[in-house]
Amino acid sequence: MVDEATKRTLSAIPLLKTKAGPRDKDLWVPRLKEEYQSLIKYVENNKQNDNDWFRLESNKDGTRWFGKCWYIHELLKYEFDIEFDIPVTYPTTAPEIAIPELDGKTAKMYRGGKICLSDHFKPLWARNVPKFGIAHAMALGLGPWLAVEVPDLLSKGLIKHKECGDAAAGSN
Amino acid sequence: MASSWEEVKLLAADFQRAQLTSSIQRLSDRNCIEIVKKLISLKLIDVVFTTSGKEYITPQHLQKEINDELIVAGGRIDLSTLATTLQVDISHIEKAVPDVLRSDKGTKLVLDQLITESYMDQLAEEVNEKLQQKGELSIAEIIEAYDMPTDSLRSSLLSRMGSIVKGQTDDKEVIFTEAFVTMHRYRIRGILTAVTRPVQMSTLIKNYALPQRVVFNIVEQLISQKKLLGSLSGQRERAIYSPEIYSRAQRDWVNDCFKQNGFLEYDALRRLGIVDPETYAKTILQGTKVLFLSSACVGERLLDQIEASVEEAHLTGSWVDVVTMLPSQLTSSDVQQVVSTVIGNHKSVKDSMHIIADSIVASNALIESCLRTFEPLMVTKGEKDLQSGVARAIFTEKEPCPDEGKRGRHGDDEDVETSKKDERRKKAASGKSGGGTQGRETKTKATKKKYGKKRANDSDSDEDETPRGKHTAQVSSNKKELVFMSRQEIVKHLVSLELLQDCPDELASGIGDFIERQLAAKYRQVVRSMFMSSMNASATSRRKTHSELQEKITVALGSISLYANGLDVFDGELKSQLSRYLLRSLCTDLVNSIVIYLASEQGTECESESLSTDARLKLINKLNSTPKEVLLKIHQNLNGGTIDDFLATMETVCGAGVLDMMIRSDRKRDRQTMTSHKMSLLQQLETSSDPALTLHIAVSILVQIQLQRMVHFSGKFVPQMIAFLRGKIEKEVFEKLVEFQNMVMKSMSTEDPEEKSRLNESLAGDLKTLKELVGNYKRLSESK
Repeated sequence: MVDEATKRTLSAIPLLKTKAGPRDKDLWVPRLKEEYQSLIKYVENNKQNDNDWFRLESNKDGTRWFGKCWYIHELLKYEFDIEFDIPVTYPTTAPEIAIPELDGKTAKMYRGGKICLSDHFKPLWARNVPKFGIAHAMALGLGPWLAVEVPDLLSKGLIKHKECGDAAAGSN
Repeated sequence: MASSWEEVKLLAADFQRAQLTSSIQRLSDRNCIEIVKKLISLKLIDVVFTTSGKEYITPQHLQKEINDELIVAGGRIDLSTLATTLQVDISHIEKAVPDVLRSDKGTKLVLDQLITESYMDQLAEEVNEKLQQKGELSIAEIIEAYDMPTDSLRSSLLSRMGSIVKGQTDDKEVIFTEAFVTMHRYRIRGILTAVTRPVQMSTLIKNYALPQRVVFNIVEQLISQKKLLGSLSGQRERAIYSPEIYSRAQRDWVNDCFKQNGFLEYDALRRLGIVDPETYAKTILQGTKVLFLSSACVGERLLDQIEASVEEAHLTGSWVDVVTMLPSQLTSSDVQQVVSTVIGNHKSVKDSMHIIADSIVASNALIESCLRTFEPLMVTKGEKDLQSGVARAIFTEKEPCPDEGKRGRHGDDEDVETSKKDERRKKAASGKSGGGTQGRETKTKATKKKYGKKRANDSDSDEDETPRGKHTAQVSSNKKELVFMSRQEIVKHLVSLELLQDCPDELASGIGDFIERQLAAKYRQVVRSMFMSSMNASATSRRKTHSELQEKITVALGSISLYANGLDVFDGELKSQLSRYLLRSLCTDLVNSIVIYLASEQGTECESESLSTDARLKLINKLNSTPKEVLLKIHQNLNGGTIDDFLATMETVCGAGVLDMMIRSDRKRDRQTMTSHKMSLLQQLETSSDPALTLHIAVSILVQIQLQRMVHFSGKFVPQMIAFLRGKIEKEVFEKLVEFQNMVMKSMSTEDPEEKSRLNESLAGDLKTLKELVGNYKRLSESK
């Protein structure tokens, strides 16, 4: 199960209503609007709680998303690029978030750097179609994954701080 | 549709914006505290914690807040109140306060309170308001009202005096308004003008509720401005205002009194309210000749009177009691002082007058005549003392006693000592009041006198107290003293004198004291001269007795040795009996006379010529050691020794150290002695009529003639001697002797008076024949 903090975060993210994917031309727009609104709320919530941890932007039709996320461990900020496409079966299928630069470094990752989500994620998502959106995927998928994997990877020495920790903090 | 996509674009832009807005750096309290702590420790920031722990403020801010609070509180605030209202620890406040003070010069820190200048102004205004209402306000009251420390309050009020506070102050304790002062000035002027006799300012102040602090200033001002006629004397609290009229009246009274009486009593002055009478009298009586005493001052007139009477006493050779001429209020010490001054001033009488019992002046002539009356008494007493041997005992003591007079006084030494002690105690107790008030002088006079007299005694005995102590020790070892008269006796005698009739007792006892020592010395002299003359007389007689004794001893010794010689004829029992008899009779007499002589030589008189054994022993024991030993020995010889022993001891007795005599025996003299002895015996025989005695003498003569030796025997030995003569003398004579002896025996033993008279008759007849026989007896040669 997801932890209490995640649960609380999750509950703060507004649920979506429109069940539509990119293929559904007319309905995708309100869905995308809802996605954006939910994301804005999530980011605002995060900022409010001093828990801002990613940047996202999408292409014009909102099918492909990219940005970066970061994790602070032992006062050092580790930053990774993220990208994912909205699957055609969306929202039934959850988006597969990928961190290409960590490809091959951890077992909990599929080919192409797609992160391997926990067992709970899929049933939870399935149960909540179409209420869950991108923001939920981020909060429920990537957030916990980073929290688990980054310290592990660091301890294994597979990733190193990029010497620009300070610069990264400064860019914050 | 397009609008929808527009909306999406807008939303995307919104999203980007939302992401790009800097996130609020929410820090937890914990972190925040950590960070601040870090910063403080790195000295990057300087902050002050609040007591709640929730806020930090910078010192600058604290200062500002303090200033604000001060203004809010109206210019005066407690540091502790600041600490609670600003929620900052008081130590920070205290740290910040100096900066506040520095930034604002008008603000002061007084007793942990910040006070601004404006507050003080306001306070001064309030004070002024109150002052105008009341007219007078003490700093203490203000302090009470405002609870401020005296110094700062006073200084700030004084600095505002005249500007904000409309008033004045004289001693910085009380503030008052000009109106107030003026009002009281008029009141005081009124009161003091009405006063006619000295008043204590304190009572005035009490009665009229005058402001005590201002009063004295006002009074002094008024006096100096001549608006009040009078003077203020004494210290503040006890100051006395005496109006001019009163002091004038007082001075007049004192002058009059002095002119009238010739003296001024300090007590009287004191009763008039003059605090220091002596100095007052000195100032008043300036220019006149006055004698200042402890309790009064005496004018020239009185002194002259006394002087005149003293002179008169001097000329007439009598006495005068000065006390009667002086005012009764004077103390005895004053009287004494007066007397001594008068006499001291008067050179002609100075040496010939004596002050007795403080106040009585007696002329030398009087004392001389008193002394003279003692002379006959002295002679009689001296003779008595000489006879009783007291004088002799004293003068034969070699120890020199230079001042016999003192000894004479030791009889009453002890009570003098104790009374002196008493008196000293009294002196100490009454030390201060001695010169003080003596309102009832007349009553205490009697006792006073006595003390005075004792003091006079002191004056000559105090200085030689220690030597006198030594004397006492000497005297106590020396039991006998030469006492002429005790002091009481002297005084008694003086009182009985015609010369001193009607005189006070003090004079008599005073003279007694005075002449006691002289008397004792004189008496000693008299007795000494008497003793010396008697000693001279006895010395010649003594020399005579010595030679007489020598003669006597020579004769006695001669006959004793002759008798001893005679003893050799006998032997056995008779010899020892005879020798004992000799010792008991002649020898004992001789020793007795020697002992008596020696005893009298050494001062022991002995009346009787014959001494018993015990009496002799006693006398011997009283003698000095050398004669004592020898005499003891001879004493023993007498009691049970032989004649030879006695004679041997006798030689030492006559030798040096005991009798210092030369006793020579010479043969010619012996013969003379024998002849004279025989002649005296014959003479006795002629004259004797008693048959027994005649028999005794006859036997003695016969024995001497027959034996050519002297034999000393008593009547007891007569029968034995007769028996001894048997065969040694002519038978006829012997028979006659025996017959006569028998008759004597019979006449002595018979009881019958007839028989006795008959026997006596025949004895008387035989007596003649016996006498003839013995008188004509010629020595029978031994050979026959």
